[in-house]
Amino acid sequence: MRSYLTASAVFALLVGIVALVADRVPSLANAVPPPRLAWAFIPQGVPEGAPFAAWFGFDAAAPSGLPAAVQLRVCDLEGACLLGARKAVTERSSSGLVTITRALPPGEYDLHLLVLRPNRLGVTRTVQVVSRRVTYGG
Amino acid sequence: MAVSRGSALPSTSGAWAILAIVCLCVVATGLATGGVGQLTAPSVAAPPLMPPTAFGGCGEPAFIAGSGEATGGELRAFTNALVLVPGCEAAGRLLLTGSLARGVGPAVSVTYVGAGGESTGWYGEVDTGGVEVPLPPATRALVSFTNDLASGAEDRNLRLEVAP
Repeated sequence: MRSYLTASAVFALLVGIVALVADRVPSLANAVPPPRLAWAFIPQGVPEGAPFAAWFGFDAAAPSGLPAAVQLRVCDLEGACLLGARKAVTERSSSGLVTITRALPPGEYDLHLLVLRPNRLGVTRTVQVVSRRVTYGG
Repeated sequence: MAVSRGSALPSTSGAWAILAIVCLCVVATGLATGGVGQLTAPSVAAPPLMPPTAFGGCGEPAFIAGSGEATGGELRAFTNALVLVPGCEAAGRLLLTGSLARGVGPAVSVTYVGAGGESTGWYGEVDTGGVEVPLPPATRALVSFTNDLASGAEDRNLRLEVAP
């Protein structure tokens, strides 16, 4: 029993180490660098009734072949957040606009533009964030 | 009467070992995936990245994103445009006029970009009556333009004129 448990523990440890190394050392997995935002713009003032919005542009070559996406998250000052729909970033749409709800009451919010990319284990990770405090309506 | 203890049940030390293995797997998986970033709110400290502002001459608005037509000091944009108005040495004015559809004009935000950083110049809905926004000297402006509440996915037109 004890030897079985020891073997299981060692196996689990090895799996964890291999996964960690594969994820953190790009050269081992022939990884392409993640896409990088070249610029982003979040207006500080948003008219009431209009959607929260962020404009973005990626480095021209960066999105090539990568299943990257952008997404907005809006949070009130107490930390309650809403996530918008994901928008895929491709070579044809490496710049553009992403929006989120227009149904919040006037006030101050923190708007986060997230750049998302799945890692080699298929888990979506946030690889870049641009944030701004925004006044909505008022 | 003798009572035999079931050998199928792990001993106390065995149970702790199984629990340790489960914990180890969870920690290893978490390390390997870096966690699911979307479940934790990022800090607001990440600095905004500036859009390109190095093109266009004084008084000549240009598109950073979106579509429309730009001719000299006048520009007509469709919904979801982001427009740069380059700065001039002298103060100027931005004349914004919106087309009406079902009685509602486009939602516009004007952001000043000067030596001291960004600041909000004006934001609101623009109708056919138009809005005049001052443009301070040596200050660029970013004009962003989205749909209003009632228009849904319909396109709107925004006319932007730079005047002295």
